[in-house]
Amino acid sequence: MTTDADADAPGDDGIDVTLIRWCLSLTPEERLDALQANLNAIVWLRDAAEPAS
Amino acid sequence: MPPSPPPDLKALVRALAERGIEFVVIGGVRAAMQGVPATTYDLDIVLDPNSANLDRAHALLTELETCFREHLPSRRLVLERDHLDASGAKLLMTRLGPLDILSQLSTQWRFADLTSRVRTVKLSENLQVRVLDLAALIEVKERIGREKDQAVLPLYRRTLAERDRARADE
Repeated sequence: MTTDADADAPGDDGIDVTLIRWCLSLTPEERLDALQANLNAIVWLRDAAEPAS
Repeated sequence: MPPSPPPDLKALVRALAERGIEFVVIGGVRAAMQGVPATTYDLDIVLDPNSANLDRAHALLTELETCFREHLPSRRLVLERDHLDASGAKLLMTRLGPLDILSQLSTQWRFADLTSRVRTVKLSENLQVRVLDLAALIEVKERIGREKDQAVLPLYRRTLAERDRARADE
């Protein structure tokens, strides 16, 4: 038996449709905010992983 | 080396739009703005090449202390107004983050060719930005054929399919 959740799980191509649907549910400005928040987080994590010399 | 601040791509998009600069957003920011769950570190745009528009763009980019990335960190080659008239890609660094200005895409499309392939995205009440349509962006990526562009194509195609499906359900 398959469920809706199974249908949305990443398939052979590894694409997470739930993430796409979440992004599509946002307004363009909210998507830009999410992109900016991701960038901030990535840079923060990178700097945390690299001790300042 | 001190930690570098993250690019503020939203502020860069806003600054361009608020100054009345005519441009089309392409690349990763454009994909994110249309719902592709992917991130990017730079803003790619095509500028309207009319002289007054390039003047406005240069004025803003001067305020943003813009220089060419390829010479950093050893040399800071400042973006001059004449550089914007030249063809080819300009890979720049601004105070708000990396900015790539392209004069044409891999499909040979220039600004004038993009007008029928753009969507206008409302960022706020008084702020609209033109972005390359997702289907057109997929066409560009397919044409480039580089590994990094091929890698994102399945995600872009799936997002386009989901968007179309959601619209059909409305």
